[in-house]
Amino acid sequence: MTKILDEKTRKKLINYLNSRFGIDGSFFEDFLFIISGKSVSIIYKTRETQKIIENQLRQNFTISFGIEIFSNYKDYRPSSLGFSSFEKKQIKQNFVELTRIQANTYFSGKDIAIEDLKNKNLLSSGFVACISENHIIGTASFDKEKQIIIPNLSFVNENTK
Amino acid sequence: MYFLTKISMGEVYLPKEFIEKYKWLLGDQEALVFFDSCKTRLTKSLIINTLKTKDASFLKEQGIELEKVKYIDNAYFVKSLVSGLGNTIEQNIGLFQMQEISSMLPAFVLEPKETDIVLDMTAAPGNKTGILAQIMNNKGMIVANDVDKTRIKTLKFTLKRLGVKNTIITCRDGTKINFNFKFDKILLDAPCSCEGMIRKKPDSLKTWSHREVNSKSELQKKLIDNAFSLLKPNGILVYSTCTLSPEENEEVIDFILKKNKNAKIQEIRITGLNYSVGLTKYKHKNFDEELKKAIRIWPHKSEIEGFFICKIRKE
Repeated sequence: MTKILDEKTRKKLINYLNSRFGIDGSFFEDFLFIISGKSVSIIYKTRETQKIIENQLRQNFTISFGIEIFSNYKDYRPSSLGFSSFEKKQIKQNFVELTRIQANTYFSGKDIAIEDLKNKNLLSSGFVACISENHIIGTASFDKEKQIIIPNLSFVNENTK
Repeated sequence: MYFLTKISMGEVYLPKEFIEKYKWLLGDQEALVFFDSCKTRLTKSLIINTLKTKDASFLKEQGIELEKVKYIDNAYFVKSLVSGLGNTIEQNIGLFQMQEISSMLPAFVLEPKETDIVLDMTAAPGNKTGILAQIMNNKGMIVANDVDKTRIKTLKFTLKRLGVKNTIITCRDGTKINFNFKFDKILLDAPCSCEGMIRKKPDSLKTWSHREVNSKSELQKKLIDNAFSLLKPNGILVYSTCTLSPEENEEVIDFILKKNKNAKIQEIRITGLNYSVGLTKYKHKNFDEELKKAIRIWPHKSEIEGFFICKIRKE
């Protein structure tokens, strides 16, 4: 069932995005959070459009709302493609900057060794934002023990969902 | 019966009746120029996604030669003979969108504002919806609808890739879809016989027939009828097709004008693009004089594919 995310979980997700990536929580003030299964999307809202969105949710014939930012909110798994809609300047921490060659490696789904990365800000294991040439290209999982980042593979397969 | 004409990209079939139709529309001499234009190579084009980036410098830095399209902000002809542009990292993350120039135009003609509630009635694969979202700066709201479930997947992916945050997607029959609210703006880029897309789709005329054209015309009338009913007073509807067939264009607009006295065609001005006005007469049919305000883009008169666009206000 698709519905507006409860306020408690909404705050929890915003806090996660803030504490993990440094994304300012105020950015989300203009957005409604919509939950569908494990997926969470955000959609721009005004007073008028919020009424329409709520109505569409009741009628239950809308396929999707806005852009998915978590493919599984329970384990905070971000949607790579949705995450690429954020601006680089919004991400303050837990990111890696990839060269063009590394970006191609990322899109092929292969792991990238941390020692090969020139610019990085990695605080702890978990999801990280991948940046290339000033744009967020997706997310990956940082394995501190193995010192690698593992591309969030759902990105590659998202067009077939 | 088919005349087979070899062109550089493959083969294009021009049915005899199609040839006769275009000789009627353009006259014998100009029709030949039109048929010749169908054999030329279509220049690839793209539009920068302003939701994610501000300019095309990232493409120029890769040595891709671009020529600015004078009449569309952020759109470019790709002058380099490159392949695979549609599979680059930048395309994958939605910094730009490969798209035919003429199919970008309807969204700009609609001119949605940041506060508008907009319906894109036949939205898949989502390129036009993406442009609407760009013009609206990801604000207001777009309802992107398409009847085809399989094409909805592509629509979802396109909008996600482009970073569109102001859109809901519905999958309903556009001839019947209804909402308990009305729209400020509606884009109806109607399914059509694709007569204007011969260079892009050389096979597009293989299934062409008068019967098919008339069948599309009937569907288009149902779609525009419903679209018009979904508009707010003073709302704007842009009707477009990638065909140059009067049955699918002027006849459809004439139908909605006759049915709704409060439907008024608005002027369209695209400075820098060479286009013709809509027809007021076709064979034995006479159309409303206001149809001169609609535009016909002919591939042999411009660098781009054939298109018809009409802007209607609900008074």
